[in-house]
Amino acid sequence: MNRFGFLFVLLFVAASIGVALAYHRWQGSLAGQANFSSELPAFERAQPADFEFEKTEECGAERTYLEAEIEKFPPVFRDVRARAAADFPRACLTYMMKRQSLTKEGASFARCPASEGAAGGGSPKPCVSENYVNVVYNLFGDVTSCFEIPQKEFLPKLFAESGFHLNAMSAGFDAGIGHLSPVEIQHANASFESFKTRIASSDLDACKRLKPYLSKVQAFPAGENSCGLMMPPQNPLRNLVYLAIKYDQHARAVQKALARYDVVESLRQAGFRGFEPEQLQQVLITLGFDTGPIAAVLYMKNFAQARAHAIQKGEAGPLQDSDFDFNDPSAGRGLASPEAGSMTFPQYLAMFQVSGTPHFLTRVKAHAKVLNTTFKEGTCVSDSYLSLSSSL
Amino acid sequence: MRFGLVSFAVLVALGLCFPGSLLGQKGADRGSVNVRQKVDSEVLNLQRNFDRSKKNTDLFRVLKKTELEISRVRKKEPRQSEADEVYMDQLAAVLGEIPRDGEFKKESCFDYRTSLISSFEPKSGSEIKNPALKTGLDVLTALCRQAK
Repeated sequence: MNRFGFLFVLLFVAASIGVALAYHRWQGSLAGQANFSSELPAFERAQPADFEFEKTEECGAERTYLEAEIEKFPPVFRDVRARAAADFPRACLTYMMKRQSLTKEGASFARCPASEGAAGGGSPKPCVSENYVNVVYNLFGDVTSCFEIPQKEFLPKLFAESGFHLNAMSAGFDAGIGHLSPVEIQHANASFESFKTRIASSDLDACKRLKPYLSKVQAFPAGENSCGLMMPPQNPLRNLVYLAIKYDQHARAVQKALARYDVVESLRQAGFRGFEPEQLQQVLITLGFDTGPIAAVLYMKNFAQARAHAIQKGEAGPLQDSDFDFNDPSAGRGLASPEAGSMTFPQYLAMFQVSGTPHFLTRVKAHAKVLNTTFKEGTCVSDSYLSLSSSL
Repeated sequence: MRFGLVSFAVLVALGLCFPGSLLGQKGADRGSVNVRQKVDSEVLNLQRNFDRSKKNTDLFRVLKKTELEISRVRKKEPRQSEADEVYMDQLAAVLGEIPRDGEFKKESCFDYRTSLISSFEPKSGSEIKNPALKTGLDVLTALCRQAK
């Protein structure tokens, strides 16, 4: 081959590498946009009907499949109470149940032939009747009050995943209001009986209301069909008790890991101090539902250490409140040459999170924002939800 | 000319077939491969040493020794690529969560596995994607196989 021929081949090789690189970058950005945009709430401005119950006679037979079982719940759960156990108005729940239609890919409302059988997808959304909303509202309020766990913190996450519907199901196994995976349920089983004992022995009013129905609620055996986590009469109580156990397990694991890996010191070295420890825990407990609680703490530690390292090299400034802003849905996309030390935390997660759902916290935050723009700020969720503020 | 066109077609096809990681996605730092490889090789050695251990105390002694060696290797080297730092920190944490002699019970191995997955990748479904968890679970499996 002469010299021109050789140069010609080299030119083609270089061009082909360039085309392949450009193609991958283009495909990557398209995939990221397509996957993520479908997960964000695209809700139109709220209408008065969004806060009203549906009438069963208007829903029709195909959407009232839960109604007969719901009507069997005792009045203490089915009726409006003079004093609610929940610390947020019932309208928040009505709104979320009406607006969530499970449009995320693979999500659906399950069809269960019996309370313990195998679930199939493709049911129409259950009729959001007053009885249905009351049962979910009262039981959610009682379980969270009984175990003294924060209620409003759950709302954006559950709005995003199940919309508080008993038979919400994801592409995997995650089922029911709490949307927990099989391995999370198995892990929670280790504490199931002790939580039942806590309900039985507590003097709190919420626990006393739940106590007579404990015999109906059994631990969910590994390998069982998911209808057992969705259908009444065991649910929603069974599903909500599992959610409470997981919250408790996550809170303990996050606290232990924060101390073990000295994350506060890592954040201090990155120039971030004076924040409320509870805010940090809230971010990590919520993230832990997606990545696992210990992994969540390690992501925060790695993030802070990367920034501290960049500060030492003079490549970045100290961490600021805006580095923990989950409002930007484009976080992490378009970083052509990513340097971990100069990223925000949402960008860092988008780049380095190796398990769970990409942009999980951004998606949850987007649902919190919908609640805080539909209702007066702080009504359904705190306005500082999923944010970290340094006082210095 | 024909050779150039063939080269072009072959390379484009290769480029389209291979995953993005080869094209520098996720910030992989080529200079950091050795430390991660050293850590992985320590973990492989650990599993071989498990097979040679006769008593539970030996198993936990070699596990502790490996953890110290991983820590020593990492301290000796400068900060690695972010992806590798994340991997090695998570691997060390997974190994650190395995119960030690005195609290370890062979009959609880299924629960230990469940606890690790729940702490590091609860939404894994049937396939573990977190590479550090995958490696850590291999260690747990080898430990549980050999423990008495």
